[in-house]
Amino acid sequence: MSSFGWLKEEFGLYRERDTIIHNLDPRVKFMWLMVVGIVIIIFKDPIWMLLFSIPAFGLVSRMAKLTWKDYKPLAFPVFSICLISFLINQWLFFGHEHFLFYMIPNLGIIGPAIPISLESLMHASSIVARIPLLMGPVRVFIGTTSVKDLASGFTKMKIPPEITMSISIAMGYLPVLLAQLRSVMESQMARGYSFESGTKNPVRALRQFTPLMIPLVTRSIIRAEFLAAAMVCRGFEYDPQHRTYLKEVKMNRTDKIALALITSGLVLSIIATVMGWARYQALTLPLAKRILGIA
Amino acid sequence: MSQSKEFEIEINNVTWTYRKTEKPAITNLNLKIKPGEIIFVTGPAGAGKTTLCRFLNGLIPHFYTGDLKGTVIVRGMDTADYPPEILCGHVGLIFDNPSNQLFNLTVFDEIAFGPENLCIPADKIREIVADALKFCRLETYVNKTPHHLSGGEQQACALASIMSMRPQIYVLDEPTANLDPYGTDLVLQRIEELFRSEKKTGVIVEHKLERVARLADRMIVLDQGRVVLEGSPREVMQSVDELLRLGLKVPQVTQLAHRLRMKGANIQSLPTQVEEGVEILSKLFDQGRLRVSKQVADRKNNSGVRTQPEKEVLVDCQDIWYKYPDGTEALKGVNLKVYKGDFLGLIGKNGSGKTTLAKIIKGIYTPSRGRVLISGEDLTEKTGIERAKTVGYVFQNPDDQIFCRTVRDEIAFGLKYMKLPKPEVERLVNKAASTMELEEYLGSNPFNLSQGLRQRVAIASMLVFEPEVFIIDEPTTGQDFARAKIIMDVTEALHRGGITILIVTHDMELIAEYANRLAVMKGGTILLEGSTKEVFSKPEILVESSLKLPQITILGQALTKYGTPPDVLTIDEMEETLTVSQGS
Repeated sequence: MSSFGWLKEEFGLYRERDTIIHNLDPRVKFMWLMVVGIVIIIFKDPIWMLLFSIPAFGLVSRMAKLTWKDYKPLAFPVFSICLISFLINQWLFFGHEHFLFYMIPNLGIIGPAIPISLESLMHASSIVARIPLLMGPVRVFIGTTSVKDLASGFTKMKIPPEITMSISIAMGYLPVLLAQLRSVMESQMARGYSFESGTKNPVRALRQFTPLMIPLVTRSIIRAEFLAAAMVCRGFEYDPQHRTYLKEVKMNRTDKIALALITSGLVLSIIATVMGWARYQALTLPLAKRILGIA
Repeated sequence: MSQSKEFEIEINNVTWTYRKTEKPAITNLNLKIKPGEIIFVTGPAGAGKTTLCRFLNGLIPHFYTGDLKGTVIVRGMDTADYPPEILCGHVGLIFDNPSNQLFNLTVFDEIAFGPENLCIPADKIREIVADALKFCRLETYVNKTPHHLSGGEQQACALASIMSMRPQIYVLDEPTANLDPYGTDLVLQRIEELFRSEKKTGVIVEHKLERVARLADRMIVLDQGRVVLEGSPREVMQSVDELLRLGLKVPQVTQLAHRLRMKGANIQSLPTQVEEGVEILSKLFDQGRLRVSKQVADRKNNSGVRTQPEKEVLVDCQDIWYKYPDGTEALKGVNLKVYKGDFLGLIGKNGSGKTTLAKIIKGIYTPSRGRVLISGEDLTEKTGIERAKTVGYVFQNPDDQIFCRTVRDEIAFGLKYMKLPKPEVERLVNKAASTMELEEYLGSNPFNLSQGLRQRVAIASMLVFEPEVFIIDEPTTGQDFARAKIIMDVTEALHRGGITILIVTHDMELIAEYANRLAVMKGGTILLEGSTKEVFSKPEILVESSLKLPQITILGQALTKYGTPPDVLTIDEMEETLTVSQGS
């Protein structure tokens, strides 16, 4: 708390690099992200998901030169969500056929409760697998697409330029906001303010943020007016529809090949789903039964 | 657009009142500016300087609304008809705070933003941006985030982002107000070159009179929305009394020359620069019309005037090291003792580690090595309340703290963490409020108070802990002279009340006036420590840390052959040293 390490870290996950993925048209990357999302959601078998993700996410991440370091900050939250989601899905599952054991054994007072079966394991793991397999590609997208590119890409997709510019400016303004938050925190700490971590009462926990939030918000509102004036002084609104974008978004050969690959990936995945191959009943469940020797 | 080319800007009898305010911000203003002319505008806070800037590119009346009488014609265009997005190609406006005008993710994008909006073809923009980068010495930072640059570089980036729109007129609203001396030099050099080599028309609002006066063709002093003085900078600077009355920071040599003239010295035109001052005074010395007083000449070697006898150590920093999370070593083994009753100045350029050290003493940061003893007690690991009870801290902006509904709650804020009985809280709050002269405001909403009063509320909210030491963090950065003076007056009152003061600053005139001891920092270490006079008589060390001596000290050092002491700190002291003799 006293060193503000988390605030000092450079904000923004985007890193300028020269890789095929970084140089792809932002619209192609957006398309890729959508397709990966759709496929991971329609697939209902963890093994299929993995098989799909190895090229669709693993290879892409490799090509973008992202390393474990880039994902590390995500690891803990993703793991926690996975664990919670796994437990909830065990509890809510009803189609048990091959009973294995009780999560809470018979303890006399409580239990036995929450039965675990082969089916519930399959079901929960296919849901849990989605979390990292969706978060990962999002991280790749953010890490390889600058907000500026995104804005010009969106403008090409007929989203009003005022909106896309506002998003990109908001991102550019984040470091200022963080610096502001830091200086508010330091100022309040200087007169004795401290977090009482471990407050169970949610109202009280929220109240602790008031001394930070009110100065932060009032200061930001004042700043926002200056910022808007500065933008007007730089010709924003001169002719947004015909504004020049220095990084002209244009599809080249690589983009078209990528687009073809993405489309075929989507088509194949839909076929696999429609044919019923991508359900855990079709692959993982029989496999597990054979390994465990259950009839 | 075919009006006379005689004037670039014509302001005709303009009166402007902001919406929801009673009093006009500008009253009956008339101003005509020729192409290539450079106008220097100054005045106290609330004089209407920023409002004047907003007229020139149409922000008034298009962005800020209110009641406009009279006309503003810029290059033949009436600003009432042409909005800022059209005028921005003709008039570039730069604001005081760089972080309020930079909003792109890289320096390159920042500079390209304007021309992109103006629909200039991409190839042309690349050319323009490259030129602007080169002119503003920013080539190496092209892909950096503007907010990660130093203050001076940020403002240079703001300048580049305006240059890239190729305006003919530059309006600069206190471009160096938030910068340290190093950043100020960087930005003013760029501005000077811009005007000299490119023959642009300019309006500069500034408080640093001696720096900008030599740049300008004409100087205007505003007060409460009206022009009170106008003429060449030299002419305007002759009205020292009027400028001082307005609370402006008149150059020290000008003030000294003015006082000597009042005593009968034959000075025709008051100097603004040290060199001029040296020339004028040397001449007077040579003519025998000025001499160094006998008693001062005798005591000039006695440099320990302000140092007091050995006292008890209050704050003891022992071998302090500090590393930022990104790995930069901010402090490398700092040892510093602050004595009870000290008024210690911690000086050095930005990045020298002075603020980091102050925050370690306060307990906002924990050192990676070493310890801080306060009254002999190790408080290194203690933060929050424990530290609040021993060390107070005055931040630059009280608005970072204020959030309560009443001044009373605001002052009592920190005490509630101590879980004191109610009457005790009441007593402490009343005591702090009376020290800061805030009794009558205890029930008011702090958001409705003036900046000066809010600053006092913020100070009172630390004073309730009755700390023995107060740290004052850069009181002059981003503040006009009058506001900095408010903080300094309060500080002096605290010091008189027996509180030890540690002031972090790069304002050498301020230090000269108040501090009895100095510690000069550079690169995370303490370069030099001693009485103010000792440190001031070692200009080579100060140059090494990019610090500039006050004009008056430089003047004294330049005239030592006539017997002036080399460690003069204030104008009063210099005045006492000199005796004007009539006739001869």
